[in-house]
Amino acid sequence: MKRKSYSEDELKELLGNFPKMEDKHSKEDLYRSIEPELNKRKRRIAHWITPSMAAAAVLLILAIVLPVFLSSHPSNEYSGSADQENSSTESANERGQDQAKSTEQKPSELDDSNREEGNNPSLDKNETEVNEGTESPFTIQNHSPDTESYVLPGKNGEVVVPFTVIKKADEENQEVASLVKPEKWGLAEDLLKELTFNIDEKREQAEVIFPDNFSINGSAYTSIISESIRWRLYPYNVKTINIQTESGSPVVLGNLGEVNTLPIIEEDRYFYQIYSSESSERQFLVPIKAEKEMSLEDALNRMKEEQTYGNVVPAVPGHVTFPSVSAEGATLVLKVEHDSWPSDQQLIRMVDAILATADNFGFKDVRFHNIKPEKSSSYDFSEPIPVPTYLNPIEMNE
Amino acid sequence: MKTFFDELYDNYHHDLFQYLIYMVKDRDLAEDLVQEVYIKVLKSYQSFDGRSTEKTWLLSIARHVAIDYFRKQKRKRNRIMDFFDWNNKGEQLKDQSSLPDEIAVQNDEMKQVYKALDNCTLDQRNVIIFRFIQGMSIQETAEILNWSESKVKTTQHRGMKSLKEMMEKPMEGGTQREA
Repeated sequence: MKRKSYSEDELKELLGNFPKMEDKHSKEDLYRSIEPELNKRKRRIAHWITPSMAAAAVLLILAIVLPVFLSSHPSNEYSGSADQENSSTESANERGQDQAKSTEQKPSELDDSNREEGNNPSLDKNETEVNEGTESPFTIQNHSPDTESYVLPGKNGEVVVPFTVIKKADEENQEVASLVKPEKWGLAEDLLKELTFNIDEKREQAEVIFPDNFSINGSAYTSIISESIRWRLYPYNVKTINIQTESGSPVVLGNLGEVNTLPIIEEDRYFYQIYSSESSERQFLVPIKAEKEMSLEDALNRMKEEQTYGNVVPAVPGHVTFPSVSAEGATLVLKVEHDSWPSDQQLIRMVDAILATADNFGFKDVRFHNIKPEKSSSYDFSEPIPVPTYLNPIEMNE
Repeated sequence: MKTFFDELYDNYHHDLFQYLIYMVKDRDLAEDLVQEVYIKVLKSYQSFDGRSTEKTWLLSIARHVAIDYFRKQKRKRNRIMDFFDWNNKGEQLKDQSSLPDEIAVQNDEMKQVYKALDNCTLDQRNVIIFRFIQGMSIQETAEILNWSESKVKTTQHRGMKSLKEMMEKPMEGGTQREA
């Protein structure tokens, strides 16, 4: 015999009357149960050994192949599109600067007197010294029309180095590509000079045009090109990066296949270390990509670790620990314990790398507790220090 | 991180727990999965981009945790089937769990609907729980499942049909309710 026949409404009513199931554990019990997992470091050796070895092998090959490739890559290979791309890039940059001027005012700006030549040994004519100067050599906390952001790969192509060119008055109309000196700075040749950047900050999007015959092979080269593009656009108010060839087709990005868009930098986590090439005395802050779910505490600890990349050294010295890391609104509050500083420079580059990393985690400024001396040549630690607007300033020669 | 946990717990814990317990039908297991959901959420909260609401984000993670659990169970069952003569020993491995207290005190109709949910596919069960037990809109359900609204409607229709068939199926052993 059949059971009662149910209409859909009757079934919905029955489902709607299902009892509320209450969790019998308290909120505190639950948090106590999950807390150890939250504090656990993510590394599991068995899981990363294999990919790390594979990555090391790729880097080794890259270290051999890329410098050869970069130095033998003729600079005028795609000269047919150079004029067009340069003018487009320049106008895009101007738009970017206008926007930045109106939106990127930071709470504390550099003292103008500090910016005068001669007061700052790290920004003098030689532009290669990273001395114990009167301001930070790695960061800049204001913006002016004579600054422009750019990106070059590290010598062996494992990292990308974003930097800020400070132009002289008579260089303001020159495109930055003509001013950069990769070899002198211990960096590799510009990989983006054949690309055209059209940046529309109003619509929060950028379009990157590749020459039709531009070819990208290999995962390492693909990675360095895409990271360079993403960092090149980082200072701009851009939320979408579209890429295409001159004829409007998707770009074939090595092993990624056909690609139409790239994610913006904000979609990933980075911490900063120091790039230091043997061929140049200039050092740079360099972003190192990490796991998306990495916590800031983990990031600070990772900044103490040696990297497998060549020319990259830890930004945080081994004698430094962070017993307390907390947030007060948009202010990162760090308690720092340390031994004596061998040089003011070591302290400044650590602080700069932390400020840049805090920026990536969305903080506006950082309050350092317990750093002695309370004032360095660049910073007053009794006050919160704003995160930088731009990284790695390089002042051009006379 | 504790503050973010407090906020999520205060606002959405009931919905989260309710969803998981009706999905897996086991209180202890639901409690374990709740922990797993919070761990995943708190470890990745910095990547929350605000494109969805916190509630739909949390429940979509819960859904993945539940699916992972069922997949693991399926693999476990498959492994067991490799070693056992299922026809003879299978009965011993059936779920012997009794009804939760909250359901046990309900009338027969409610108990039947609760059991009939087992006849639905996982997708259908997801939609029925979100739509009719949790009272969410088609749009919210679509966001959690990352589906189109029309797929939610189709799955809902099929799920309700399946539930209805199960409810109207003649009872074994001759016991019957209303004609």
